[in-house]
Amino acid sequence: MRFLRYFFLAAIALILQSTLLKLVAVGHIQPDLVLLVLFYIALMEGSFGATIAGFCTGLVQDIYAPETLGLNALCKSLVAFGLGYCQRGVFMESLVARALILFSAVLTHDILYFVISVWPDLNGALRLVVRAGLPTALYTAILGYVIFYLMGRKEKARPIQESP
Amino acid sequence: MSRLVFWTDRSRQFVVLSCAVIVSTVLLSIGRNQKTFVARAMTISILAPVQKSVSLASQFWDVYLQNRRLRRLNTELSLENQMLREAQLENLRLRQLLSFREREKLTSILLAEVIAREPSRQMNSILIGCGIRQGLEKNMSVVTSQGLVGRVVEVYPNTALVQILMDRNCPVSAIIHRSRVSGILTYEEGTAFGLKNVLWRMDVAKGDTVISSGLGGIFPKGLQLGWVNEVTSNPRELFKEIVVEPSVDFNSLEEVFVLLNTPEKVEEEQE
Repeated sequence: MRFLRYFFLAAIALILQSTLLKLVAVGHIQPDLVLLVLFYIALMEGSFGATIAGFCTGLVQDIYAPETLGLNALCKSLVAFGLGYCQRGVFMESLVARALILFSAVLTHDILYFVISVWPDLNGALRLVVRAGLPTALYTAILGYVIFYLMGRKEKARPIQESP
Repeated sequence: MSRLVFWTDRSRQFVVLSCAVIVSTVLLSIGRNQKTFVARAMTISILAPVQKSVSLASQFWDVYLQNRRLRRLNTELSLENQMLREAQLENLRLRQLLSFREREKLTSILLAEVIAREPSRQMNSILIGCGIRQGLEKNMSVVTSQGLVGRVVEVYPNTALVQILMDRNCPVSAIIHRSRVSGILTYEEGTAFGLKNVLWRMDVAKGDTVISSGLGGIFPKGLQLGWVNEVTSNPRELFKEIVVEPSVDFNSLEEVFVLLNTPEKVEEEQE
């Protein structure tokens, strides 16, 4: 059941990413919803589930970018795997830590993506990372902080069920 | 066996990662081939309808925003249009007033704004925005380009009360412009006035213009009062019954002219 939920979450993120997200774009910078969902899956499932989810979502994204088929799948698999590893850390309870990790994840993803896609032009990759990668990572981290904060409040508001 | 299971559990994430990396790398290396195109076409054909539906929501939002913007623009333009219409009417009115001034060759007249009307069903007076400080005195005539409106009955520092012809207590000595037949114009009812004291044999016809005669010493001579609308002659009656339609529309007075030279003053000046 929970895998179905992840599937829908990822599907919604992919659809929103390619349609409605332009409405909340600041300049040309949009948050990376797919990575946000991957972060959530990694928190819940760890490296195993996150890597599969990362590969699948990346592959779907790749289908829309024929020139670099497999690139998104590769980057997202690696980043999701890393996020899944972080899930074991106690510091993940902190919202700020989560936001920072999300920021690093998006940045790492973009560095990987840009370096591979424009290889061997490393200067070009650096420019792209500074112009697009950093703002996207920041935007995604802020959005993630807000979402996790709201989710945390909802969790606290939920009454605790006593075990029989 | 248990060691194998443990190893598999711990390393399955690495296995998955390795598979993902290998497959991705292979995909990266193969580039565009026929299979990829088929897979891509299939995925697009599945995802495209969903994305189209979601895009529709986006389009609805755009239409909603555009609708709001256009409605706001519509309101602004409508208001501007109303203001321009009002300015046009005011322009027309002022032009008429100016032409009246030219026509009558009156130099000592004062333009006054109507600032209040009598708050009763029977409108007998209006309040204008000129008073003693502007040189107004009692019994000065008040006119528009259409004709005589009434006379000043009370004067205050910056305002004045004008008794208009629709007051039954404000009769005007009048004459028929064409035949010079004289009578007394008084308000009757509705918008109708009556011309009294005209003998049954006098020459009055429908459509004749009625003007002030200047008799009585309050209103100057020659100001237009209205037109004869109906004439009833009965030989058994001494006087004709004449209904006069006023030339001034008393319900839409906004600006009036006060004739600063009353007939008495004119006479005094002439003497």
